[in-house]
Amino acid sequence: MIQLDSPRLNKLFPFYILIDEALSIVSYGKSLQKICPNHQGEPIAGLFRVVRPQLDELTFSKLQSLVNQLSVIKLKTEKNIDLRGQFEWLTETNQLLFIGSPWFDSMEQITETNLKIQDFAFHDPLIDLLHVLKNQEITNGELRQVVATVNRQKLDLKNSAKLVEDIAMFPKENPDPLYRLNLAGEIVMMNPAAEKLKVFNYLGVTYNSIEFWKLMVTRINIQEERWTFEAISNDCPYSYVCVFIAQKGYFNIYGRNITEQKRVERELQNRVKQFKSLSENVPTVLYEYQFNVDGTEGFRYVSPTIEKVLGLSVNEFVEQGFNYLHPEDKHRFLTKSKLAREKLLPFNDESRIEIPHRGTIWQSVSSAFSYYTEKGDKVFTGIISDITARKKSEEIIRANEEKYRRIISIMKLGLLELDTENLITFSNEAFCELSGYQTAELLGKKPSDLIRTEESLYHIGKINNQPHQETLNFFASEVEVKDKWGNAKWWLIGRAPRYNETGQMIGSMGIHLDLTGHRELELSLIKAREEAEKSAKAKEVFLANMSHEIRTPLNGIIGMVRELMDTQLSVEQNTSVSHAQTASQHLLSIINNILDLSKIEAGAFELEKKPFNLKEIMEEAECILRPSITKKELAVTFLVDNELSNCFLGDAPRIRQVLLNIVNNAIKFTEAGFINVECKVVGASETSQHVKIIIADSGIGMEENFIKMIFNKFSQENNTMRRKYGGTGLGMAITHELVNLLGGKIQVESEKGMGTKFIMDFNFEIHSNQPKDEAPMPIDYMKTLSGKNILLVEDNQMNRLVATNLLKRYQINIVLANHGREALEKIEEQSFDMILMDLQMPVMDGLEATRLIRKQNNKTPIVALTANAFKSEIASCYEAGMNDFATKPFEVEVLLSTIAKNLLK
Amino acid sequence: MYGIVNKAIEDLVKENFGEEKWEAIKIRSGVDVDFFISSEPYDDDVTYKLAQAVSDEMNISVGSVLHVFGEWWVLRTSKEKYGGLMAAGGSNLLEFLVNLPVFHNRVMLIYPKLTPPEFKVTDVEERSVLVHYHSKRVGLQDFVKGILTGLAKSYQTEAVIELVQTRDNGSSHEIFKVSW
Repeated sequence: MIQLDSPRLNKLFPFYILIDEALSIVSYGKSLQKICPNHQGEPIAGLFRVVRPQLDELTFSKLQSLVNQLSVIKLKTEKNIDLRGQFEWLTETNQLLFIGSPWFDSMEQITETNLKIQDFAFHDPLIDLLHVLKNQEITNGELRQVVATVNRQKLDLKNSAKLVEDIAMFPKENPDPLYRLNLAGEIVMMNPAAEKLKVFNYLGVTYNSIEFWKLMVTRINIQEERWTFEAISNDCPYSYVCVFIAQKGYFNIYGRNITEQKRVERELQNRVKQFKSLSENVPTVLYEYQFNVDGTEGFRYVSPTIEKVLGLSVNEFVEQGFNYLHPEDKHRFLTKSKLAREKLLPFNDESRIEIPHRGTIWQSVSSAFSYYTEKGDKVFTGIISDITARKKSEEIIRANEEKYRRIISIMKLGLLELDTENLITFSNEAFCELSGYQTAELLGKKPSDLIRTEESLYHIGKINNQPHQETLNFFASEVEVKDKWGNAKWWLIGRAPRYNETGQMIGSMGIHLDLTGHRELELSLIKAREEAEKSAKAKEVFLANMSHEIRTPLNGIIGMVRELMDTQLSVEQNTSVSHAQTASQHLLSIINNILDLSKIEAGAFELEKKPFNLKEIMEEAECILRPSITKKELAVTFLVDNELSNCFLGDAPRIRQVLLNIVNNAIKFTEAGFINVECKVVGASETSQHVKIIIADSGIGMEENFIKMIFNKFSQENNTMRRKYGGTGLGMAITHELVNLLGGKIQVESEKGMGTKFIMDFNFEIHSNQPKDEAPMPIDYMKTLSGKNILLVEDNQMNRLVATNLLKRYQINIVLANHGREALEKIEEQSFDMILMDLQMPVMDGLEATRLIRKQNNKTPIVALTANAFKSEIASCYEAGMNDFATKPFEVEVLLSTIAKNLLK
Repeated sequence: MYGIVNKAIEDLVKENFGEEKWEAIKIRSGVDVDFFISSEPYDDDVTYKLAQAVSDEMNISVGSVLHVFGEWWVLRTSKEKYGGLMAAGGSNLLEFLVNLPVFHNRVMLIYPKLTPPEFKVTDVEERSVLVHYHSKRVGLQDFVKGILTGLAKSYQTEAVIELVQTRDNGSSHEIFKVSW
């Protein structure tokens, strides 16, 4: 058992702490006391705290648990000193002994705490450890310096490497080939662009890279600082500059792809050729004129075309060019030239030059400043053209213009020139005379502001407000205007665009012709024509009225005679009535003929164009005429060509009329012998047939003189004939006119006592469809008409009587009305099966009455009774709402069938 | 942290993945230090940046990086550089773990400027022990776990390391249970 007294304990462990169970400091080492004096007997908490291991509380037992562990306690001093050591439990005294030593980072800390080396036990390694640490710290510092140095060097190296790389990359990135050759021509170095060149064509011979450079080394002239040559590789020309570096003993070869340079050279050569060709061939002289700094001047270049253009050699022109200038032009030319030179302005001039043996030539000179020479001389580039021809043309144009102006002036045509704003820029004297204005009053004004009238405003506007466009064309119009004094005038104004020499529209020009005299004449002619038309209309009206006035009583006469014939008459009475009937029929015939002729002459005759069968017309004619022929015991033949089409388009009633007229005449003038009627086809196409109708008889014939007059109106061979055969002398005239209207021709052959032959030629249009068989079914009139209520509207008493008598025979109930108004009243009283309506009546005519009836939605059939055979009137009937018509005088059959037909509808 | 830690990371990467990878990781981390001096303290941030860069470069989590590094620290760095010290720590895992607090406190002697963590060992059983880890640094649990795994491996002991308590859950320190 070793007992340690306090001095020994202090000697061995000068930093010890002895703690009792109450955690008071029993004693502590002398060196520790040096740092922390006066803690003996005090609680340990005032002296230190345990840092390691961590204790959640400071108790004796907790401290006891630290036995067998390395512990660190922190002294409660300003110096923040840790003691590192261990606790030991002294069982016999129940005390804890801490044996340890301060833990310093450095010797400096020791001295700062006033501790000396003798304050530490000899066994304590701290001082030595601190020395080791210090050494380590010094080593670390040096190491840091080494590392820093290494890092810096590394960075330098890195930068150097980058620099070297950049420098190396410079030639490497060069797209042109670079070589370094030794004296034997071997490639020492080359860049990637050079590596790509495997084959070289030099002076027409192809080499590989090795052969090539060995060859070239022998050729390089090392006396020359830069020896160059060209070779082709990869289809591209390369230029090589060879530099001999004598002190190093190698060649540096700098190659360059000169494809673009070669192209530019070629292009330049071509351009030079082009320019040469151009300057030698264009009909223009190209030149350069130089104004020198020293005040002298002269041509730098004159193209050889000068000989062609001016007939001078280049030298002649260069030496004496200005001397040839026309005296009248020279001063102006030189003055302008001087101005251009001083101000560097473009120079343009047209002047005359007088060249011996060539006479006067007009030249156009244009130039502009081009550049300064190195000395500072001014160079102008220009062209000289021979414009003699153009000047002559301009002279001709000017003369022509003057000529036309004179013509315009002589013709008294007013001439105005307008700008694009339609303002007058020029007016000739003739226009001033036409308009009454002085030139000064016209200039700058719009024509429309000066000469318009209300009536012509549109026309003037149309002329003067037309947009000025490139496409503006010639425009002409007749307009009514008023001159300065308000006199109305008619002008023909023609207007056309005006263009300048570059084709740009600069306005318009107008030519004004005074039409006032013509216009007045025209108006008087129009008036005369209108009066003539009015006269023709009056004639037509007269004819219509006449037709009505004559037919109406004739209707009565014929009707009455017909009634009379139906009564019991003595033989003598019968003869008289028969004559009366013949006479009235003849009168009707005459009237019809006169009306027909009048209508033809008035141009009021209208033809139908309907399908018809010519064969049937021939048969009908034969049927109609057969009794008369039989009566005279004439030999008759009706021959119809089998080729004749069954259906033509045309006016069947008129053809029938023509045919009956001629055949009737033949019968009339033939007492014995024959009558032959022949219809034959003499030509045909797909759409038409040429038909010839020949009516020949063995009658009395005609004198040759009369044949020429047969188609004249009122022509009969002589009075004897008229007395013997009757007639009006209108039949053949009407026949002739009708044939003409039908598009045919008629001629006559005849010999006195030998007979007559009429030949008609028609070109009938073939109709594709057969005419409908419109043969009406026979109507039983008694059955159809019996018991019907018919309103007869007729103002003429006789006509009423004729109609009433006729209709009553068929047991029709007749109600009478004298005019339209009365008819309307009757209709209100009772309904009718039919209304027979006269047209011309007092109070209210038939057309108006019909319109009112139809307005009341009354659909009773209305049949017009008209003495007017004009088609226009019949059309009016239908227009007013009538269903049918019957002309007066009545044909019994026609009237009955018309009534029956409309009742049965 | 002392340069030895960063150097250990460098060695770990270089040995396993080569110099180029280390250069890539350094560039990625932005740490422009060519040579770490073991006994020189460096800012903690350097170590964290390196760990993060390894994680990014290798496409593994930072936790995995730290765990691997913990193993590497014990098995290579400590053994190679402080083999005697390690050997003096104990003759088996239990002994070493029981001595771990003292062992660790003695390391302070080597690195006086160290701000070392503190270990405590409790609940010492025949085949298990609780290791308490106190540190001012955060986020190094996986590193500690790796160290414990490395220690087990160094004593050829198959051990299970469990984190039974962590500051992440509001506790004052981490507790690892080492069982074998």
